[in-house]
Amino acid sequence: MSAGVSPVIAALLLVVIVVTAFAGVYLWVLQQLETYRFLLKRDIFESKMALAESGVVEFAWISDSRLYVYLRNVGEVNFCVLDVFFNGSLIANDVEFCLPPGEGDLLVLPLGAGAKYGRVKIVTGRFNEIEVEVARIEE
Amino acid sequence: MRSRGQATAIGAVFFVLIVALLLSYLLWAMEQVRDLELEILKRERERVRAQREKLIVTGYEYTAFRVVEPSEVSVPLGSKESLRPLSVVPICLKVSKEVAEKPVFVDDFEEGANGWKYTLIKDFTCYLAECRLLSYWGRGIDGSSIGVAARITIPFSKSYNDQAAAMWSKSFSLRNVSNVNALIVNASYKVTSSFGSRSSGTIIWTLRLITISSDGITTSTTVRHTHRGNEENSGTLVLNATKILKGREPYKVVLRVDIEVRGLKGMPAVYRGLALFDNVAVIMQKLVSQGYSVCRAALEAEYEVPKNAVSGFARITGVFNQSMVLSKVLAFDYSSNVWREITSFVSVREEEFNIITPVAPLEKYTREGKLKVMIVMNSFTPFKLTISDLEINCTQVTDKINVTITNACLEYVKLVSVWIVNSSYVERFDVSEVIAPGEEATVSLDFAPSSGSSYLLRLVTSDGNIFDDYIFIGSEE
Repeated sequence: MSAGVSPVIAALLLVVIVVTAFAGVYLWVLQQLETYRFLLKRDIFESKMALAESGVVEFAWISDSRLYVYLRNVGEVNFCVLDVFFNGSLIANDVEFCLPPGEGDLLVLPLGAGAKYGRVKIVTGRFNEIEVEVARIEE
Repeated sequence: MRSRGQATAIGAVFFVLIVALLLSYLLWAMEQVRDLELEILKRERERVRAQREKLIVTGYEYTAFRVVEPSEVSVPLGSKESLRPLSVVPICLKVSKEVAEKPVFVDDFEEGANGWKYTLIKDFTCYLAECRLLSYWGRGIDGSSIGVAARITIPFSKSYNDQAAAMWSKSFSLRNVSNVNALIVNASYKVTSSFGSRSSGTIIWTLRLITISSDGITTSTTVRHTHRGNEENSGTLVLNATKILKGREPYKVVLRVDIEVRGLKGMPAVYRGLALFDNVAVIMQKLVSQGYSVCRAALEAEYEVPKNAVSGFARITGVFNQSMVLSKVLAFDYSSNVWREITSFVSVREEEFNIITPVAPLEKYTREGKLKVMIVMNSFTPFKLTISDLEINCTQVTDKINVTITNACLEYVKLVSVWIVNSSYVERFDVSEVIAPGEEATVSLDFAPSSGSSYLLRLVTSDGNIFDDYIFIGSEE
């Protein structure tokens, strides 16, 4: 009898082991795929957003120890300024200056006295960069 | 054996499921990447489309035209004949002929007869006596003189009558001098008579100053003195010898002396007479100026020109009733405090003139908005000027600038900003102007530019394109 039961048990055990192993592998692959799907989806969304972000500096100048930058959002998403560099030096970070699509506004930042000419680099929230030349205007 | 087969079948099913899952993920990922590529392509197309935008500044207008009438009109020289229409008449002055005198020769005979030739024309005719007419050079009128000496000594005479004549002559020429309009000959003379103590009678001296041309044209002047005792006369003979200038050269000056003796008596009858000439001068007169009348008038007008005027043209319209009136238009230069000629013209009788002349640079001719223009008129004859227009046409800078922009691409372009910038000025103008392809639009900006400045004009479109141009606010040099 024991010789008759053993094969059944052995077969059932084998089936259980196989099902359990494959189910584990399946679930693990499924979870990994979901993670990759999420990351890829996010990256593609961010890329699309970055492509949709576009801004232009209409005019920029220095006056009264201040840097004046008139920005216009010509993209399809909000245009937010993250950092501003002057001649390679960071002069403002986490600037809370956002423009909705189609809008323009003047960004005024303090600048060291004596600055007459330089290059301004504006880094957006989506890490796009705009560079312009500025010069002093004695109003 | 059967259970191994079941396990294999179950494993195969799971394997297929896992592979199918991986495949579906791969397909999904590929689809996502394709979407991203399409997005990139879309953005690139938009960027290329935006780059096709082209705006051109085809014109800008910052001036306005203004006609300025004179605030004050005066006539500093001449007079106003009427006010409406304004007519001016001149002051006329008569200028006489001007001549300059130049001696051809002057002889004072101090060194001798000096080229003068003596000719005895007729001597006395008494017999058995000394009656002679002699040439003389010696002490005379003013130092030495030339002349004629009469010597008559008759032992016994009841009444002696006779005549004699002699002359001194000298040739001269004007040596091709032009513009000689008169020839004057002067000679001082002196006549003296001395009778013997027991002599009496009458002596008539006739002195002639004669000029003769080679072809016989003669002019002369004469003086006559009658002596009945010891007498002396002197004077100057002046002859206008202009007539001989019509004749041929050389000319000749003749000093002729005629003596007439009437009733000279005495025992002996003695007479000594002397006719002297000195300081003989032949003077030619050259015409320096013909003599004419000068008529002159001046009309001054003062204007209040706008302070932001950049150019000005004087416009003068009128008519003269005479030809040959030379008119000069002057403007007062405040930087040098002098009147400067800006144009001139000559009138045509009864024909209206229209003078348009720039008063440039205007800054030089204006001070505190005042501009002065003067018309100075000169003529040889009286005239009358009737003025129709006497104005300054000014171009002034306005407080607005109109910029004409042309869309030179095949897309509709929306203009959103206009910047005007120079080294001391920056201003942004918010505009919203959609310009169709090939069309132009005029944007009016509230901006008062400075004369003589230049500005950067920046146009910004809704697609973020920037177009730069330059505008110059002229001041005419």
